[in-house]
Amino acid sequence: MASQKLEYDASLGGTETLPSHVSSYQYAAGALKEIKSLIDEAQLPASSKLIFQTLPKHMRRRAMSHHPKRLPRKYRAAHKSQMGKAGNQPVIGKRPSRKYRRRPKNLMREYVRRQAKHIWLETHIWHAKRFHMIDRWGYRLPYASCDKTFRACYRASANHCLLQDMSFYICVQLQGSMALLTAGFARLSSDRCGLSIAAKTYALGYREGSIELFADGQYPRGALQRVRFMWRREKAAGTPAARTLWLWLHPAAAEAIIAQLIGVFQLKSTKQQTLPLPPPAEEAGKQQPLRFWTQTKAVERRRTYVNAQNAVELQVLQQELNRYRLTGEQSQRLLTASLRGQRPDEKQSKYCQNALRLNTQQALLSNLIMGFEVVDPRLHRPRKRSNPSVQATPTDFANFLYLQRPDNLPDSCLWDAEARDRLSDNMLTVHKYEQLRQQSAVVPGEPCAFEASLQSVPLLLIQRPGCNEGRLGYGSGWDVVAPADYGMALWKTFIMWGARPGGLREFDSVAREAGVEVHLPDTIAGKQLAGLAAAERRLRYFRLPPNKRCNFRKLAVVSPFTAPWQQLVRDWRISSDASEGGDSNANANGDADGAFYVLRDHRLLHKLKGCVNLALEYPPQVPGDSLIQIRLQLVARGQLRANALICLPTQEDWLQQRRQFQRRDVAPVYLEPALPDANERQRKASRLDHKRQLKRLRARRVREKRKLQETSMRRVHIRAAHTALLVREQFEHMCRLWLPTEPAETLDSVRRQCSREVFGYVSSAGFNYSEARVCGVGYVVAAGLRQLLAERPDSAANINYGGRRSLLCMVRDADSLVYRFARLEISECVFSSPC
Amino acid sequence: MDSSSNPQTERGTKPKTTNSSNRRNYNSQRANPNHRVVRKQPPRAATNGSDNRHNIYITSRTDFRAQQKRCEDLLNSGAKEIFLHCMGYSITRGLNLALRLIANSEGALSYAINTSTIQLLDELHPLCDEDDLTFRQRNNSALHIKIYNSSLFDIVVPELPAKPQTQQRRQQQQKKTKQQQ
Repeated sequence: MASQKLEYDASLGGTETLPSHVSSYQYAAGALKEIKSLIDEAQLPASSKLIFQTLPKHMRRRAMSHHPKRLPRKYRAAHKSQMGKAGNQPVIGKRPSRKYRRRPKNLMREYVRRQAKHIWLETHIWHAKRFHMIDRWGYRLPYASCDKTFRACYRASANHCLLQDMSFYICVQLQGSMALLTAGFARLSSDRCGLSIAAKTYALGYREGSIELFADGQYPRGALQRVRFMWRREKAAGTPAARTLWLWLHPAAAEAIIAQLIGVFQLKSTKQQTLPLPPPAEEAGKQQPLRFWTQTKAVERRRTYVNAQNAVELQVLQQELNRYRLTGEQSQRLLTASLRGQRPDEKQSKYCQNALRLNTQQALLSNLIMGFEVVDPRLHRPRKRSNPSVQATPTDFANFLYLQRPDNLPDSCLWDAEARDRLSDNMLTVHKYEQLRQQSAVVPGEPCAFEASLQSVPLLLIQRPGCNEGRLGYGSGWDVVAPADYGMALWKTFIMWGARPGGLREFDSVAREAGVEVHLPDTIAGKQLAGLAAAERRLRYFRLPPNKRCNFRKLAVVSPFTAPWQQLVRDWRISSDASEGGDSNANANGDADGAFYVLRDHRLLHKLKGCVNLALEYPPQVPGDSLIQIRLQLVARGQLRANALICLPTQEDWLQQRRQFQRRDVAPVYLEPALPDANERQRKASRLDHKRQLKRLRARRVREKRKLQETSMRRVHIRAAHTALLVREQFEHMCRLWLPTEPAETLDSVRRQCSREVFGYVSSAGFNYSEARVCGVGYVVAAGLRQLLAERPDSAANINYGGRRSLLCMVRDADSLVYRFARLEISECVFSSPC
Repeated sequence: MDSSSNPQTERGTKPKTTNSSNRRNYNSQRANPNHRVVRKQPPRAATNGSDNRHNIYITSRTDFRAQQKRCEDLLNSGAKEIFLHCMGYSITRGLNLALRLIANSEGALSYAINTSTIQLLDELHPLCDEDDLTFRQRNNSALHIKIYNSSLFDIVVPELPAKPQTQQRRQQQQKKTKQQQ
């Protein structure tokens, strides 16, 4: 017990009662409080001094605040953060020496740091040395070669071999019974857009197919993307086992499609699972409510989603497979040179080698999948970059190839996840390989003994048939699917055998040559790319000096940077509703969200084509507000660029065209009369006002400075301007005055924006080398096409093109007044895109 | 071909397809709506030599004058012979081209003709899910025209059995003889 003692303390001025002992918890509580306050003090010092000001005098140095190296090392980080907060960054340290940066460890660390922001492909470093790299869809991708290889790439794609890395496509593996998968995909696609995913010709596993995906039940709106898929071949026919399906998704829409698949199949991520707890042992007899616990995986190598009954499983195989695209006549020969079968006596391998020895890939079944196990591609490189030599090819091989196909042709151990892991684990790295060669190679460049024991690489080769319309077989070639880590080895072998590397630009240019488009404007990727292009064009426009900008108000162009599909469809829909009567009013209200869609119904497209070429009657089932993909070809001369207007000719234009055709006159058919620009004076006034105001502000600052200088002994500097906000506001105001009013604001602004009615827009165009003309791909409103067909005079139909009637329309670039006639063809490729 | 850009068309070509025959084709395709015909590029002659430029495949789409110029350039650049391959509709075109070339050459060129039949395979892609891909085999007639230089003045100089000595070696030999002297 604590006894009270009286003690005398002089400083307290008398006797005080003090306890004889202290209880430890009270003492601890006090100490805790003290420690806490000390920590707080250390973390957030109350003193407002800067770090270097707290140093004792003898440790201070001149210009310490400027240069952190003059501080003791332990204060540097705090000092930097302090200065950073204040807004003035201290001098960043010197860049480490090149030698230091080049050390493998440091180089690798730097690469890992840079990959945190964007995903790199396996061939990234090879490309980064030679290509312009851009950020797209979360990847860092090669856009085009630093050399000017535009025409060279076309030649490669036509006559030689163009090689592109498309490993950024995301492979998604779906496993489940055929019936479940079929039912699920029936909700995401429509049978009107061609074959379904379960079509027999694909489900057997010999051919790669493609399917158009839409958001669940929203066909024909809500298009997501065209997706390539391949089924794994069934081992034993007739067993109701789970089938495996690979989907190759473009990264722009990959997440959206995965979300749709999760919704349709009711999948759940396996990253966080609720599992039932086992009931405690002693209370096993009693009835207890089930208890659950949550298992969370910290790292999941493959994102996996499963169904409630484990009936359907979805795995995202991102960066587990490489896919290379070879386009061109010689791609077959290139593959023959660079790939050797590991076991050449096997049926599958023999077939592959014979197939590759044919002199054209066209002779094979279109979209054929071949599994091919090859010797490590590093062993089959020429010493110098060279073209493969011509081989004597077996003639009349085609029949044999069609008939004698082995059953196990598409089989490959690439389908097996464990096998893929084993492959990349056991791969001999390039460094090790070179070391081994250094040790054991007697003659440089000759094969070594150890090379025979290198593991073989399974590949999937997928044939692409190329164009079926237009230039027959253009864009044909092979896709090569390779396991992870072997990407660079394979790539270098192809390059050494003379392939021409291409980037993202070449995907577009090959598609344009073939007369198709990779991303339709109503898909996710299409919308995204259109937005990007519009921003780029706008930026470029306002970077030009005002006297170099074309005045779109004078040109009567409503939307100069992007094609206003929504408003175009809206304008044509309103007029067709008005002509049909009030009964379709409800329909108009239902579509008020302004969604547009591209017609993909292959039967209707076929009928429309017949209607255009053979003057059959117009199919009435075609919805008037859908967009139809067309191919354009300029008749005489002139140029065409993306975002050009497609217009309906009037009677005078037809007459003029006829007259010019007889006289072989290639002048423009019609010139748009330039509109007056009401904003011109306003712009000038605004600019002068703005200049005057800036001047006034400056004068005020000068006056202020002079006044201060009169009373001050020191030199006074003029105050900073701080007019950035003002200038930006003025710039935006001027932009608004330069550009025409947004088409969304006013009705009928797109259709009747100029003296000819607009019924479509060009989405990609340019000079087409294979046609030797300016060609393009565009989209027109069905109602407008109908009107054009109705107004087409008979005389125009007499102009034959290859024995066919041709349909003409007028086109005008967004930055010119010149109208020219272009030949219009319905593109049926929408549902069987060759590229 | 658009006649506005190419007023000088060749004579004697039959129209590719008349409207009526086109319509017949179309209807036959519609009568059997279960498949879509996918044509393939016809097989090309296997070339044993590395020079593939001397084999010219005549198409109906290429400009006639461009084809003519291509052949003339080849012959003028020293080619002894060129081969024109043509098939089906473009046979008349190929014949026209060969005749035009020979007429323009003022007797320097002559020709030899071979006919053949080429087997073509079409793929019939199904339009409904239950069908598998099928094939259709058809034959087409083809013509192979060899055009060669028959000029008397164009005498082939046989290669010398021994190469003439180079300048350097001759100099060395001269030096040797000097030393011997």
